Amino acid sequence: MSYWIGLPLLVLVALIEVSVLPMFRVYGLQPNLMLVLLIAWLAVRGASEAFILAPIGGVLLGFVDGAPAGTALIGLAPLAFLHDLRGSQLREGGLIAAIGFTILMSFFYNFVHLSVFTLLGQAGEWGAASVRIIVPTVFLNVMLLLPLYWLLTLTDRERRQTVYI
Amino acid sequence: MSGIGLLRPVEDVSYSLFSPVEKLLRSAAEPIADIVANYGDVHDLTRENDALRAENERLEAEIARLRGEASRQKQLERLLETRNALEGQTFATASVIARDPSNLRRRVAIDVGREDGVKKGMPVITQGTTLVGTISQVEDSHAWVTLVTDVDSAVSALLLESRDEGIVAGSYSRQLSLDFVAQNATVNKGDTVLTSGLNGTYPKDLVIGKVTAVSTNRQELFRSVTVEPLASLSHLEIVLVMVSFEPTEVSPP
Repeated sequence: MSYWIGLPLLVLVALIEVSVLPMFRVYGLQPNLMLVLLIAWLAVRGASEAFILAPIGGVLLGFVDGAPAGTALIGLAPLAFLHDLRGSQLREGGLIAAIGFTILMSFFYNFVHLSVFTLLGQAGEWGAASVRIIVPTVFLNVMLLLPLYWLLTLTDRERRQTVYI
Repeated sequence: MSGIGLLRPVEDVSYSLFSPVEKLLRSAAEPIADIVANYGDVHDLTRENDALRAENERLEAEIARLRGEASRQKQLERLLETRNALEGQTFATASVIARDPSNLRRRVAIDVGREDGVKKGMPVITQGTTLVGTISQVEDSHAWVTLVTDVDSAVSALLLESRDEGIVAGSYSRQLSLDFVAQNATVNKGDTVLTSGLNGTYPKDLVIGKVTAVSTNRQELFRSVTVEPLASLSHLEIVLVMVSFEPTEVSPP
């Protein structure tokens, strides 16, 4: 059932990321909505759903962003592999674990993009990119995680109550 | 008796006695009398006020609509001026449909592509012959434009006032810098930066931006010049692709 909600939601998120979010940039920066949503999903609803949704999110984002094909998919790949690694612990860790994971994944996701742009000869200095772009983006991602985590927790609680009844 | 003035002293006394009291009563009663007298008027005024308020709302909406139309017309006039200024060039008008979500790039997607004659390397401009960027990726029905502020962007440029040359480059700080400007060059805050046309990648005399800061460090080999793009790159809606301009890469001799 969650896939019926998750899949259209990912399509919507991919479109929002390229059309709506750029209009609300903070100092020219925007959070990585798809990444943060998938982390919140993973933290609240478990790794088994994220295992399916993460690659789909990567493919969808690849269709609409301007980066070379597969960049977003590689950037989001660790989310899917968490199914076999620490997914269950992340769910039990609650919000703090989700924040920690957002920080790690944001660095990974953005450094994957920076590496690809460097390989194509389209990137500037890594130091400047890290200080001026990646670190502030990580902060924005953490800020965005808080309301998304709260919203997903609410919907998940309602779902569990419905199942219980 | 009154007629022959016998009662005048009595009248004078009574007048002087009652006059202040009468005045006091009158002044106290006046507001009440006004309310009573104007009761009907208040009702009319309320109705009139309501009607005026509605009229005001209608007029304000009309003003807003006219302002919007005027702004749209101004935008179209500027685009027309640009077309006239670059006579001989052919343009494809395009709308911005998406922006690259990666903060590491400054690129926008436009709704014209290979089918509209758009090719990689074509310059993209907006109103007032202001440079927006270059076509960096072309698909059948859309294309990606790398903005001049992108870290991968470099444009041969010159200063309108002094004709001194340099290279306008984008950076992660979201500002443009005019690099390789000689120490003896005359650069002032507010100077206009144009494309120089050198290298064959851009046509000549497209406006890039204005100089906002100039370094005065004589120890450095080149002057450090900061440029602010004139085009509002974060609010782009309509752009023109110079489809008649074929960029030519000039190789060194």
